[in-house]
Amino acid sequence: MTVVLNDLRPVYVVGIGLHRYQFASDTPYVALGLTAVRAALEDARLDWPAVESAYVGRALLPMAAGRAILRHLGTTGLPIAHMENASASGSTAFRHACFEVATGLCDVALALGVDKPGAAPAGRAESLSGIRNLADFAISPATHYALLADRYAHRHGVATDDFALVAVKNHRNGAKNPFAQHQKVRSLEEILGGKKIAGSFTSLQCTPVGEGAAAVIIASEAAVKRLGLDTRRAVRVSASAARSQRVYEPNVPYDAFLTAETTAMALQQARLAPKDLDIVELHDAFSVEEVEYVEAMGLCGEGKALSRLKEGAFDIGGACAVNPSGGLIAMGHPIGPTGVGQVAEIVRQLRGEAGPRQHAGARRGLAHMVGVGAVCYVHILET
Amino acid sequence: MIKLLNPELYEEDDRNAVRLIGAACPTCSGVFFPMQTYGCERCGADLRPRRFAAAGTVTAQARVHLHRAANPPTPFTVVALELDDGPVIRALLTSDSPPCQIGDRLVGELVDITEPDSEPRRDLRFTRAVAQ
Ligand SMILES: [Zn+2]
Repeated sequence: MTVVLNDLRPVYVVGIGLHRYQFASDTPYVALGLTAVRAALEDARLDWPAVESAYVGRALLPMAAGRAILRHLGTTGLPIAHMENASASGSTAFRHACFEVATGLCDVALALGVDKPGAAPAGRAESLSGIRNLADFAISPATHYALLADRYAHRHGVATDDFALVAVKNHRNGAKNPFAQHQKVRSLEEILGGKKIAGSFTSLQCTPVGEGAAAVIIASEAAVKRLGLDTRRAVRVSASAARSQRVYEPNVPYDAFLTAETTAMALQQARLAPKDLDIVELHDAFSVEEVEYVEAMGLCGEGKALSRLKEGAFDIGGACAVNPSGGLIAMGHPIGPTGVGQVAEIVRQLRGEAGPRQHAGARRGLAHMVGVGAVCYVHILET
Repeated sequence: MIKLLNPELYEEDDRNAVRLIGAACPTCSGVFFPMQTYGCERCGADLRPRRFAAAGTVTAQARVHLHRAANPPTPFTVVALELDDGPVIRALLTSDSPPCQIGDRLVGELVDITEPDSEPRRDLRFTRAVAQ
């Protein structure tokens, strides 16, 4: 018989910390990572030696970045594992840190996401697989999702310009987030009038390239008691689900299908329905993704996302706040940190500590990442 | 005759028609493009080559205005198309193709893509089929 996270002993996020996501700078990745970890330790009111295991998510930095960061906290000999899973690297680090605590292998674990573009040659291993293709050299991620946007608009008879409304909301949320790369309210006209990228997308509908770091500390109930941590600020992780892409029938929107499958697994583990979610942080690298994924998750019916968005259902204060952090479009997507940063935002919201972007009464949140390949990771957190 | 850029992906038959070199799985009956020898993506079995006509129907298109690499020069159009023989592939439209939309018919043709000071090459592009 197999078990899921929720069958094991409870695990809690007890500390969160971030280095602001930003455009590439002279700041060494060590400084980015240390800022996030020290902030998470301070948030948890925990000393570094209490952390027994570390998982470091990164996709752009070369090998063994974690030890180069963590040694400056004072070496304790803890095990360090590096996770590379494309955009889902941070989510993967978080999942395995949760499992290590949930299974009782350790009591306190760190999940750190850190990255810096340009530090090593970037690229997808698939391009080295030896299998050539007709047009892959011409298809960037923006173009991949522009093709999906064209299909969605055709399938549901909507205007492609309406996808920009996702960016209006997420830039508005990012403007209230001191850790966001973009912190400026943008009008629909400004977004539609921006630089054209691919299909209907303009630059402000696409995630920026950047750097940053995010850290969360996960602890068992025993550790929360033993270390005298604040139980009111501890947020339980009630589900962790992960899947990868299969072969689908022609013209199935596989990104949405993968999200639907993984989200359903996570909701089942937590014994929740989509309507129970107050906060969703999802992978909106391109505006159309949020539209496809809220439907795939069951937050609204098929083809209804744009009308629900226009009604304010996904605003902070709406039925379910989607990407209150600003999402990948405004908060940014430094790759390794992104999945960990989503967890940090949900914890902040569930504690009621999100200040001007607080979604009132938030009790349950879901974090969703996809990574090229494709893989999908979903976590649910509850107070 | 000018050489093909990717002769493992497509070929020209003796009547100058373009054929794609895809794959069929003898175990699960799946059809794929391109041919590869690593194993079927659906079931893991060894694939066998199968030729597909370079003709199909647009399932999505996107005009690209910004592209990091110099090749292809912007703007250009990427299409997803469902081949008449089954697989969905992604390809480039010829620069002189009429604009296309979902549901339009496309046919493949080999176009000269020779760059200055390099060996002459032809590559596969698609163009909107105009009703006769
Ligand atoms: Zn097969």
